Amino acid sequence: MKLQEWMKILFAVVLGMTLASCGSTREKPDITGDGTSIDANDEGEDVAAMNEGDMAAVPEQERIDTSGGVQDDRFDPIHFAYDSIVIPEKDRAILNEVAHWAKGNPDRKIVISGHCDERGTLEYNRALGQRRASAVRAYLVKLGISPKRVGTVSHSEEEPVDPDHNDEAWTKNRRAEFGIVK
Amino acid sequence: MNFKIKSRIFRISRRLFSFLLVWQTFASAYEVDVVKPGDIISIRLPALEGAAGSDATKILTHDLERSGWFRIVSSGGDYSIQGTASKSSIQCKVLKQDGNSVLSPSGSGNFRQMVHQAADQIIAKLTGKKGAAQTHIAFISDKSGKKELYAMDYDGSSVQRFTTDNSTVVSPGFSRGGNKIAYTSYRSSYPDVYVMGYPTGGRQAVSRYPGLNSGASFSPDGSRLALTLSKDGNPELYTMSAGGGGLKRLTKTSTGESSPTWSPDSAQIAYASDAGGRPQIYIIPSSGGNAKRLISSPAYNTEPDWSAESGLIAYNSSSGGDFAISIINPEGGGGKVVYSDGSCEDPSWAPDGRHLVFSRTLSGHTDLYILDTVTKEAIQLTRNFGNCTQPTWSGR
Repeated sequence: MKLQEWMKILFAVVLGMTLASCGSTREKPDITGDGTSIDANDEGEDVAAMNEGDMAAVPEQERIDTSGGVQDDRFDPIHFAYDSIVIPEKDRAILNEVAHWAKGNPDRKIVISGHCDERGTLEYNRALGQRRASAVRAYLVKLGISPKRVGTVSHSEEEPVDPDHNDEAWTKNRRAEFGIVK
Repeated sequence: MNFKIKSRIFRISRRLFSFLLVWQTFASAYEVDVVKPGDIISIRLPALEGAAGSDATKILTHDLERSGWFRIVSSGGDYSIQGTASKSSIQCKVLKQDGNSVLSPSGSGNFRQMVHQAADQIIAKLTGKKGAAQTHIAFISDKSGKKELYAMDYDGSSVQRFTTDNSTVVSPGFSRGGNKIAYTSYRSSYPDVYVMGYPTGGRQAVSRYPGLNSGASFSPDGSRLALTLSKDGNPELYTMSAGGGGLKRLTKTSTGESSPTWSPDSAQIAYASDAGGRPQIYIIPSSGGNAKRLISSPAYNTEPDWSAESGLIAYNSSSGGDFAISIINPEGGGGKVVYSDGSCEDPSWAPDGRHLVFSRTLSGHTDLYILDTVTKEAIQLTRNFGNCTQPTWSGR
């Protein structure tokens, strides 16, 4: 193995440790899910890179019909740091829970909505909200859920859960929600 | 060279010069000196005669002053305007100080529009520049409780609502010809891009891919749209036919690309991306190729708008707090803040290349303002009309 590759691995490990240091000591989820290989990225990204939110997003499939409505309070939302799409260590248990539920309910579909706080600009935040939703979707796919069952939608900063203009509200508003299609 | 030859050359060139002078006088009855930014032409405008004279005078005064080139004076003045106006026609004369007529502007049809027509004729003749009095501004307002698309005359009058989608409508963009608006609506519960005839209002969905479809911007000839799609997994820039289809992907990043805007010659597209870690402005060839970063400070720069008239790019910038309106010459020279008070977002150029419309948030409320980039003065355009955002100025 070349020196460059060793350096890459060292960097990834250090990054992983740094990101994990603020969270619990919970075991990392089995990202290979049902045992299939991680194929979303040809270069073969690892858990550390995934932590960074930089894994290759999974191409969208057909649009999921939500005309019958969605139930959006079944799972807690995932929260994000400012201008970040990194899924925090502490929120990964939610993803495991969602994946577990999805495996037990193979006929149900999920739409993940991405949201931002009000401080950024509207169209940049529309892309950022999309990236948050796409990052969560990619994570579920890596946990073994078919990409056909998971859709995304970005609401930029247009659907805050807390309309206030302070840190507390902004922290709540930077999120990705799970909508279970009825 | 001896003195004789020199003096002969001098005589010949002097004759040529006189000839050109006479020729120019014949070519055009009246030519004004070319104005430059900062010039002010003083003009006397006593009330026009006729049944609608007083109303027309008000609109005309407004138009001339808002162009930035004129000051209305009560005596003296470089020019004076006389004329008469009814509800359906306006006839004026613009006189120089010596009493000679320079121009006979006129207009007919819709009352406000006909006065705007006369104003643009005066602006074009006396400044040599394109006026913006007949232009329109489309924008988003949440007045109804939901974000919907509205449009109005450039002076804030004749506001008209164009969508009743009862979901969220965002990111409108006028075509340069002013006869189409592309916008994003969540009426399907997903963000899709529609193209609407203006002011007729007929619409067509042109981009409904899974994931994000937003930020559509017309190419200068109106044949294509640049927009953000996330169908391939991550928000990327694409161009497509303005009627839908014919997709061409421009970027391949793991970051987010937004707010594309075309160069005047349509060869390039400027946009915002955080490919370098923070949101900054980039430029990429519209036919595909390598992107280059145009701006790298301060921390957050987005929502570029490229002027077809001046070639300058307006955008919003922030080093952490509120956003300011900034301008950069893409040929070089660095970005400069032109307005900062409250949080100012989403600038859009007037076709005169001098004025910008943008949204400004003060104490949690957002209205539209027009900035004269020469005098740096901003005037408020919307009042008590909900929160008004994402303005786009029609091309003519």
